[in-house]
Parts: sequence; structure tokens; C-alpha cells
Amino acid sequence: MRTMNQYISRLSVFCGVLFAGIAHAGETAPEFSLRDINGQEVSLSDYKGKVVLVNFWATWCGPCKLEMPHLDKMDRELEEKGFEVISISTDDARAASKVKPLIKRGGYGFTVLLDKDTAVVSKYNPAKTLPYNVLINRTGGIHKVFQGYNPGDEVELRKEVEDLLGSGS
Amino acid sequence: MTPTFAVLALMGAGPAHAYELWGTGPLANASVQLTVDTEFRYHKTGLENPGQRLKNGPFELIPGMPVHDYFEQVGRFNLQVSKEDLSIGLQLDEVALFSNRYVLDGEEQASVPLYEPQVQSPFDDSYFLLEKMFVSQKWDTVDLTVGDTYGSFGRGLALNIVKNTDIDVDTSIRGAKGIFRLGDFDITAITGITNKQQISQDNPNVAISPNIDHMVSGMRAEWFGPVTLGAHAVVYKFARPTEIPLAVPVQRYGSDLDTSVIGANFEVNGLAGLDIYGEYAHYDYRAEEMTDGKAQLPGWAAYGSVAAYPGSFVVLLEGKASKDTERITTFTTPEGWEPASIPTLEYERVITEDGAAAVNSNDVMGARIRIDYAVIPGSLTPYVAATYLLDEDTEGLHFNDSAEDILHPMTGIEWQKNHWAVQLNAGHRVDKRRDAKEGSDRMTHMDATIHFPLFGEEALEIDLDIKKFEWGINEQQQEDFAEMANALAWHRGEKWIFVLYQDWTDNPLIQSEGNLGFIGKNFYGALEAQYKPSGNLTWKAFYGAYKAGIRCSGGQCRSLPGFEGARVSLSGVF
Repeated sequence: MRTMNQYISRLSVFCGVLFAGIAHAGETAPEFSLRDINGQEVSLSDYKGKVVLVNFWATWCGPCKLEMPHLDKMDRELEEKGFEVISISTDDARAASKVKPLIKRGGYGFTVLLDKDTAVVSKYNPAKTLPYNVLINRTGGIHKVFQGYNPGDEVELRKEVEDLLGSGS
Repeated sequence: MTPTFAVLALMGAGPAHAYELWGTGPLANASVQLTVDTEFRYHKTGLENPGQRLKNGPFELIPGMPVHDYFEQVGRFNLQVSKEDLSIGLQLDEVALFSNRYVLDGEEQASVPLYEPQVQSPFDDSYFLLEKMFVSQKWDTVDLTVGDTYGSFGRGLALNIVKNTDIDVDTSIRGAKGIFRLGDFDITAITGITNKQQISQDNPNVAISPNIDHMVSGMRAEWFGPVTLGAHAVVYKFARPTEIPLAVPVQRYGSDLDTSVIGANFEVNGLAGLDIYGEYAHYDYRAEEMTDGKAQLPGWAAYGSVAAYPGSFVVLLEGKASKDTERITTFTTPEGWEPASIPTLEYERVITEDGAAAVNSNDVMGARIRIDYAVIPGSLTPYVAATYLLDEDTEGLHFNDSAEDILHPMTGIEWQKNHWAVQLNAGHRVDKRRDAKEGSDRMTHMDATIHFPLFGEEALEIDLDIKKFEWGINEQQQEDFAEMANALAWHRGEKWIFVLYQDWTDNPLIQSEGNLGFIGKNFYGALEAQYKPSGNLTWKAFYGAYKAGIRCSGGQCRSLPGFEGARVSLSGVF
């Protein structure tokens, strides 16, 4: 039997190589196209030049629903400054009929896309932690990601968005 | 102790930053994202079988440790390389067991067999594999993915192979997928061999089995006009477990098909203020395992929904009917995933063993209506809902020997203001057998999340989940029981959360044992600390136990084992 020490040393070497190769210089947000809840095609590239918050959520996710009013408020109040929220439902196909009613009852005005086959969330958020927010700058680079939500987290999120809008990048 | 420290050091290692990693090649200036999820667990097994560790030997991490207790380290590394419209993804999963060996009668033994003999690994107590990999390119009118991808048509009646990490299920289709966008037309084509996630991230890894290579191919055409129209066809050729490991996956393309499904759907938004959706699927089963020995067996399923938004009300009505639809899961249910199924219509947090069988039944029809009233949109919304289902399937896991009428009224409320929040759901479900001698199953349930600020940045969160079951006459479960799973979380600023978990049940068939016997039988308790130094990094440390149970997400259900011991985990995006 090979020992655990051998295993650990090999794993360490592998992970060391992996970590050493990480470029961290404003990663480009992967491009995607999805249909919105009214059937219109929407691409991330449609929002070039704007600061975009891509929000991944699901109808069964309690914290996601608590976060939504705050995202909607930001979307409305900062729209004129060049800010947009793209909300992507990661509910699978079987729950797709529940998405639009949930948006309607909240009166939310942001764009809502359906990622029914989980293809886009798999690129951005392979662990599928929800909610999951990706803040993208005006040049299409990922500025910051935010995992999970607890009431009050929206304060830091808004500050990051406003800083990014103010920086011009 | 060296391996333990090495793993912990590895878990704490931050990313090194390197620019222009790819030089001047085609990936010059590409960006890279790494997602790391890793956990180190101590399993307290409570087993008292004979055997001993060698004192100061290679199997003893902690002196005096019980013979069958062991450590488990799991890790998942996702690497995404993106440049303009090109994406490349790799997912490496690994697991290692420590202190898993002991000596009995002079022979070395394993407390837990990590993998089955058919699985190839150079190490006895560790296993790693490149679980997923893909290359994806987007052009103006075409999205093409080669490698691991996912597929879902319509509402999932014909095909719904998607990532569902919420219940630790991630089966992909390893092959190719193309989406062709031609004006208002979308054409999707997908083909490949299924690739089931083998190393579990959330649950103990025991006897990991080899992947079973099922073939899936499908095509869907969709027109997005005033009405959205779609049509699709999917074919399946399933592997037989007895073929492992000699079967060659590509052979599935050259042999007779086991199942084909054709379906069509329509969707119209805003017609007289209504959003309407309808779908039908026809199943043609050919495999004798699916047809009860007949040469061929048909099945069908229909699903529809209507949503209306009068004033401050939101009304959602869903209905479904099916005949012999669940036969499509014949080969994959033992693997813990489903290639396709109809929307359940049931509230997922209350699906039980019986509920899962009933609402995903072969032969079921019914409807669910939910009415929300937005008193203050986004802030205060009470709702009422009611489900009626007629389940005529009495085979397999079904508790009923005669057809049953299922009625499930529910109510609830969502309210939040400033940093106060309440989410409450409660209901009562009755499964009434048409054979009066069998009686009825009844379940009363309530779940709630209450979040309120204390002072400064401090906040408390209370999570409650309580169910009471009263059973009619059936072969699987006769004794009534109750169960609860509760949590009290103290949010200390933005970075710290301390959680106290408490589970309890008097279910005599529970497959786990509580760790708080001094309070009462089957009491479980646990403590967890979460540290979030930044938005992209979360540390968790857990000590205690939780009970086994069934958990559902996205329409799929899975029985999850209980746990007792300790866990330290890191989740990060770099």
C-alpha cells in the first residue's frame, strides 16, 4: 500500500502548480446568451460599457428572495449612472413556470433570464452557491464576486457598485 | 500528524498571481478563475468491531483514536479559462481517507472501503479524477460546447440532465452540444455519454462506484414569435451494470435504442393578461427492463401552467397528467439521478420517501394553485396554495396498494423590512386511499426563517422545520412520528456567523443515531462557526451530528445519510 504521505505530496504538487498559474488581472466575464422570461434573447455583450451585476438565484432559495428587493432598488436608483442588474434564475426546467410569478409579485424591474440547463451558472459558479453575485466593470472584466446573502450584505455590495461607477472603469 | 498539517496548509494557501500566463499563444491575455471547495472531516462512527491500530503505526493520526473512526478530506477545484467568446473548464475532484486502516488477526483491513474494485486508483485510500472538462465557443449564431455539458428541453419531460449541487447531484453529458440561433429560431442538438459525479462533496464517500455510460442524444427546435413553439426528440440507450467495466460507450450508438421520447410545447405571454404554457411528451419504451417483458410499451405525459396578475394578486395554476412516465428512470434511479421527469407540483421541503414516489409517480394527475397577494411588493406577501393529485400507481416505492387522492393545502408569508425578515410556510397533506381499509397518511408541517437585528451589526436568525406524520396501513411505515430540524444563527458583523443546530425525530426507521442521548433518544446537536473574510471566501468549522433524511431540490430528491463528527471547510473563488 502506498502511504498517505505519498498521496499528500503528490496532491500538494498538483495544487501548487494549479495555484501558481492563476492570472488575476480583471478576469473577462464569460460571454453568454439566454432567453428572458418573455422569450427575448439577451447577451452579456449587450451591456458593454455598463457596470453589470449578474445575480444567480433560484425560486427555492430563501436568502435569494430576501436579497432581491435590494437589487431592484439598486437597479432603479443607479440605472442612470450606467448600472444594470441581470438576474439569472438557475431553477431547472421543471420550476421554470414559477420564475415570472415570483418576479411579478415583487414588482421587480430588472432583467430576468432563464438558465434552465444550468450551462451559464456552471461557467460562473461551478459550486452553485446561491445567491451568487458577479460584479462586472464597464470593460467586461470581473471586478468582484459575492457568495451568499445575509440581511445587511447589500450595504457592502452597493458601496462596491458605487465605487465602480465612480471610478469610471 | 504530518499529512493533517499538510492538508490544512494546502487549504489555507492563497492564490499566487501571474500575469499573461499564456505568453503569446492563442490564449494570450486569457483570464482564469479558480473555484476551490475543500473539506476535512472527522467521522465518529461509534462502531465497536474488533481490531486495533498499530500503536504509533502508519494508520494512527491521533493516539488512542477509536479503531473505526477515520478522517476524510475532499476537494473540488474548478478552473475556468476565458478569452472573449472562448471558455475552457476543468473540474478536478479528489478524496482521501486517513486512519482508515486497522489490523485484525494479523491482517490489514479498511474500516471504510473508499471505492469498488472496478474503480481504478493508484492509492488504496484516495481517489482523484478529472470529473468535468469542456471547451465552449460562442459565435454570432452558434454556441458550441465540446466535453461535459448539460441538456434540458421544455419543462424537462423528455430531457432534464442538469447540475444540481444543492443535493450533491451532478450528472453531465460528455459529448457535444450546439445551439444554432437563426433569427427567431433556435435549434439545439446534443449528444453524448452521461458522466455522473463520482466523488461526493457533501456526504461521506463510501464504495465509490464506476461511472455507468448511458447514451443520450436529442434535438429541439424552437420558434420565438408571438407564441413560442417548440418540438423535440430524445433517444436513450442505457448501459447495464453487468457490462461494467468492459462496455465501450461508443457501442451505445450502434445498438437498439431503449427509449425514445418525442414532445412539443407552446408558450404565450400576456395573452389577455395571462402567461400560458403547455407541453406533451410521448415515451416509447423498448428495453425489456422497462416494458415488463413486452416488446414495446408506450407512455405519455402532459404539463401545463397558467399565470395571471390581477392587481396585487399573482395566481399560478399548474396541472399535469402522466401514464408510465417514470419508467424512464429505471436504469438511473439506483445511481441517484434522473434523466427526465415532470414537474412535481409539490412543495419540496415536505417531500418524503412516500411523497417522492407519489408526486413523481408513473400514473398521476392533478393540479396546484398558488395565490400570492403583494400587500407591499417585495416586502410583504402572504399566500395560499392547494394541491390535488390522484396517484394510481401502487408499485415500487409507493406506500399505497390502492389509488389515492392527495390533498395538500398550504399557507405562508414573506415579510421583510430593514433587516427584519420572516419567511413562513405551513400546511397539512392527506393521502387518502380509495380502499378504505388502508386508511390515510397525514402530514402536518411548518417551516420558518426569522431574521432580526440585535444591536450594531449583530443579528439573530432562527430556522425551524417541523413535521408530524400519521400513517395509514402500509407495508413500509406504520408508526406515527414527528421530526424537526432547527437552527439558531448569531450573525456577528459581516464576517462571522455562529450556528447552533438541533435535530430530533422519533422515527423508528431512522438510519442514524443522535449524539445527545442525555437529552433524549434521537436528539442531534451541532455547532458551526462561519468566517467570511471577503465576499469570495468562506471558512466553516462544524462539530456535532445531524440526522439522515430525504432532501429535494429542483424536482430531484435524494436520501442523505446522517453524520457525526467534525468538519472544516473552505469555499473560495479566486
